Order: sequence, then C-alpha cells, then structure tokens
Amino acid sequence: MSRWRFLLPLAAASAWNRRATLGLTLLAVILASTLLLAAERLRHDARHSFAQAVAGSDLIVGARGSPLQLVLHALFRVGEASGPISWRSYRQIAADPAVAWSIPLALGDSHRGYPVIGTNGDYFRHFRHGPGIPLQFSAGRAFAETGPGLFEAVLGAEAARQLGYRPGSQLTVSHGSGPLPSASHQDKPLTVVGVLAATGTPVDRGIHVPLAAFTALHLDWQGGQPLPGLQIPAEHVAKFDLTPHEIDAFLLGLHQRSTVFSLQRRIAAFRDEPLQAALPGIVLDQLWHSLAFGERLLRGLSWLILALSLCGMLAVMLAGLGERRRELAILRAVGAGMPQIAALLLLESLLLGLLGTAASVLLLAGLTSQCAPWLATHWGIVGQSPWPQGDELPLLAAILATALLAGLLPAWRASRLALADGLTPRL
Amino acid sequence: MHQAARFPFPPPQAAQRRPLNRPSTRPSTRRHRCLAAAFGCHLVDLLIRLPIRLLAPLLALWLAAPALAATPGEAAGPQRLQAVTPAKPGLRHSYRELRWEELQPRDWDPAASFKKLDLSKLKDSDPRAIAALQELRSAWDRAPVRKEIDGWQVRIAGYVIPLERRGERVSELLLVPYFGACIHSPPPPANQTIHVVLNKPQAGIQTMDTFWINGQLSVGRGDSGLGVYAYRIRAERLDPFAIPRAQGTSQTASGR
Repeated sequence: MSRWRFLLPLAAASAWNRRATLGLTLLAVILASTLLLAAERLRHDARHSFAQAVAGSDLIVGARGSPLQLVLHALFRVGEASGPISWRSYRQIAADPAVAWSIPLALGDSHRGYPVIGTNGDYFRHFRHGPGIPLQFSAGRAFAETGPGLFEAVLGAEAARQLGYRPGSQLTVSHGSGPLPSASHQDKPLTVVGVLAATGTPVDRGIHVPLAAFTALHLDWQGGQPLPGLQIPAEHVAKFDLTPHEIDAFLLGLHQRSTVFSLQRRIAAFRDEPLQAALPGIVLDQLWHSLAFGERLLRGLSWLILALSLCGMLAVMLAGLGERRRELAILRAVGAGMPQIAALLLLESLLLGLLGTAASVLLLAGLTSQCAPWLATHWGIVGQSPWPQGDELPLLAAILATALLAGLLPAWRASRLALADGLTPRL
Repeated sequence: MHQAARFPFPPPQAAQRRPLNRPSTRPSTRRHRCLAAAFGCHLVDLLIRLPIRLLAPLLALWLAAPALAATPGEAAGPQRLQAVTPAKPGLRHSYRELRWEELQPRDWDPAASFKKLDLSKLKDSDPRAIAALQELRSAWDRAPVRKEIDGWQVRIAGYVIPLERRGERVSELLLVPYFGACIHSPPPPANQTIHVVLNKPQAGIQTMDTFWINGQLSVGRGDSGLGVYAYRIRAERLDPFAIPRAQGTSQTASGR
C-alpha cells in the first residue's frame, strides 16, 4: 500500500508539467459546468421567489385580459396592466359574503426607478408572503390614511437600503415609470414613516403610499401633465373628495378556500365592468408548464456542452499519452503496477473535475451577486444564497462522476501502453 | 513451391526471416502481452459484462413494477365500491372510499323548481325556464354539506389544483371532481370542492393531475357568520390515480 501515497503528488506534478494544454481543457470544463449550474439555479430561484410572492392571496382581480399579465403586474410590478377598474366595482366585490379581506392596489408612479404602490392599511394587516408570514416593520409604523398622515410613505427593505431613506426622510414621486425628472409631483413631497422588514419578494422594492395620496397627487393633473395655472397646495387637498376613482387590481382573501371557484365565476360574470379573477397558483403553474420545454432544452444543451468539454479533456489526455510513454515506462520500471498507472490517470481526471467544479462554483457565486439586482428589478426573481444549496449538490456530484468516468479510457489506454513498451519506448 | 500456399497465413519463409532478439519476441515481452490481454479481458469483464449482469435483473424489475404495483382494487377504478378498504401499505389508518355524490346530503334536491315545470308546454326562451335554470344554478352554488361525515377517514380521487408550495413541494391544494374546473362553466359548488392540507408537503404535483387523497375529512365553518360550511381533508398521503384500461392493466393518468 505504500506505493499508493505517492500517486497524488505524482499526478499533480505530471499535470502541472502539461499545464498549458490541460489549462485550456480545464477552462472549457469550468465554463460548461458554470452554465449547467447557472441554468439550474435560475430555474430554482425563479420558482421559489414566484411561489413566495403569490402565497397568501386567494384571488387577484383586475381588468379582463391575460391572467398572467395581471399576476405579474399586480404582484411583481413587471409589465403593464390591461386597464384600470373602478372603485365602485371593487367595493361591490369586496362586500361579497365569501370575502374575508381585500387589498386594493394602484400602480403607475415611481420614485427613482422604484415603483410607488397606492394601497390602504389592509395591506399591512392582511398581506402574507411565503408560507403565511405577515409583513413586519423594521423601523417606524404604517401610514395613517387621513389628516396629516395623508402624505406618508412606507418603504420596502431594499428600496430604503438602496436609496438611503429612514423614517423622517422626504421623497417626491415621479409621474409614470420613466426616469425623466420633468414629470414629478414636487409640490407634494411625501414623508417616510416606516420601513418594512426584508421579505425576499417584490414587496422589498416598493414604496407604499395611501390611495388618497395617489388621488391628491393627481388632483391638479390631467392626462399626465400638471394643469397650467392650477395649483392645489398640499394643505388644501383635504377639502376635496379623495376617494379614488380607479385602481389597478385588488387582492382577495376568502373565508373558505373551497368557495374560490364560485366567486371567480361571479367576478367573471360581473355586469358593470369586464373583470377577471386569477388564482395565482394556477397562473404560475401554467407559466411553468409553458416554460417546461424551454427548461428541458436548456438543461439538455448544458449537459451536451459539458459532455463536449469532457470530450476535449479526454482527447487532450489521450493525445498526451504519446508524450508520456517515457514517464510511464520509468514508473513501471520503479515498481508501479498496472493498477497504479491506471489510478494515476484517473486521479488526473478527478483533479481536473474537482478544480473545474470548485472554480465554477466560485464563478457562479460571483455572477449571481453581480446579476441579482438586475434580476430582482426586471424579473422579480430574488436570488437565494450564492452558494450551492439542496438540489445543486447532487448536480455537482454528477459532474464530478462524469469527469471521473471520462478518465477511464485514458487510464485503460495508459496501462496497456505501459505494459507494451517496457523500458525502450519506440519513439 | 513457394506459390503453393494460398492460405491467408503468411508463407513460412516470412516468419523465419524475422530477426531474433527483437523486443517483441523476447519471452518477457510475450508474457507481458499475455498478461495485458488477460488484464484487458478482466477490465472488459469489469466494465461491461459485470454491470450488464447486475443491471439486467434490475431492468426486468423496473419494467415489471407497474404490473406488480397495480393491485386489483385500483385496477378496477373508483366505480367498484368497497365500503372499507383495508389499510394500504404505508398508511396509518384504513380509509373508506368515498364518491363525490356521497358528499351531498341525500335529502337535498336543487331541481325542485324544475319539477314544477312541464318543459313540453313552454315556448322557446320562456322566461320561466330561464328563471328556473338560474334558480337551480344559484341553489347549486349554495349547496349544503353533510355534517354527519365529519371526522371520517376517507379516500377520494379527483383532480388537484395546488394552492401553496414550499419550493417544489405542494402543501395545500383544492380537489375537484372534473377536469378543467377552473376554466369550464359551471364551477363545482362548495360541497364538491375539498380544501386539502397535506401533513407532509409532497413533490411531483401539478395542476389537473389525478390523485387519491387519503386523510381525515372535516366539515369546517367559515368566519363569515353566515354559516358557510365547507369540506376539508387533512391528508396523510397522496397516491397517483391509475386509469383502468380495457384489458385490466393500468396506467397512471398524467403523462408527465
């Protein structure tokens, strides 16, 4: 057994000797396994963050159109709404005996790229994310909706952190979602009164204001522009009726979840306005089902690319056996048997596999932390930890096993060559 | 005569012309070659023949598993009634198989208004017929539950609609009696929809898959104060539902 403990240093030294060619194949293996791991992680993160964000609402109601578009716009603030729905329809449906609670949502404005959401106190009382976790405050309190509390805002954790706001800061809302500062409601600044705890959902990026404030901000606006000559200062807005006319969507929670279908049908048949009610779980399932083919294709392609890079490694190792005949013959002469020669080659492929997977894990962690803000902004996908979790570990083991398997052929070839050549390899 | 040999072997003279003491003809090299051949054969044996010998019975088992797993009870499908099925492997209780019709009270008749009408005597688009149908539909929506089956250990098959997920595993779902209950009209009434909560979240469940739900039924009351009751099952386990084929063998319903 004393012959074995020299093998690892031997394999490492031999590989270092041929580091130019092996380095290139190692690079190919790293890139291929990074691609494989990245595809798996993106899939996992997308499903997880979407499931976390939609948990807690039984129905999402909005203007008739695509249910997926409604769910994405209302909960993830991605894309556009089909159209507004009237406040009266909302009140009528919220008064249905099957409904336990409702949360109205008005979207459309933004502040430095972060969406402003008009809602009321029910949002902080009834909204749930993840497996039934309510919203909690890390600082401050919820906004009061009347009186001096009209122009108050509550920030999500991510928005507060990136913008550097704390309870007491002031912010002005921009009309629409664009970056130009020309269309902004400068005459009515909002005061931050609370910051929510991190949830890992698109709630973190939101700036929540009372619905009445939404109406008040647009009192002297018309068609997306301030009316010339008309200015209603902030202190006088209370003299007007601040009941909102329109909202974008509302969330419903039911007393009994099994009554969801009859309520959904009543909303779809609502006579006053074309509405639709979407079950978020079903909508997401349909989304994943329609993406399933693409996911499988991506996974198949990633495995194919990994196989290609391992074939490259195999080719380099096999071709290198020719120039290593003297080395192997010397090892045979000093007492290495056939198993040791084979083990040497296997160790080399195992080393390459280990280095490749370790480097790809590091590369993926770096890529994840770079792309996480962009993914969260544009797709609502909140990444979990940048290091491999749960399902990715068997994948890493599978990549290692494939690399080891790829080393079997050179190992067998080398042991045959070493036997046949003896001490005078024919060059 | 050197031309007499038409065999595929080289002519005898060729072998004698080989110089002696070449490395390939030394006794030690010949021995090594034999060893190499033997080693090669062993390697081939190890890598190819042995795995095949191991895998073949496993493969046979895997192919035979569906036939072995389909018990006679499931192969006949839910139409065959058994009052109490014996405990299936892995379950803690023995569950009573329930049909969807048994979830409705026996004395409830939503079509009472229809019985008063004689359809042959009505004109087309008669408002009485339309009104009777609407009344039937709204009565169907308000259908009552059977309170006496509260607490039963039941086993019922239906289409599932996942509501809550923990990662890839589903923890809560709705069970409906027919396919496409969320998009086809009319919707199933409250007493034909069961809210199922799983004790242990289970993976591999997608919308409109068919499953047997094994669990305890409870009749729950909502907090609306209007006395809306609904069925709930606390499920111990979900089993895939096997659709019986004509010949008596079975296949699982979902093609995924």
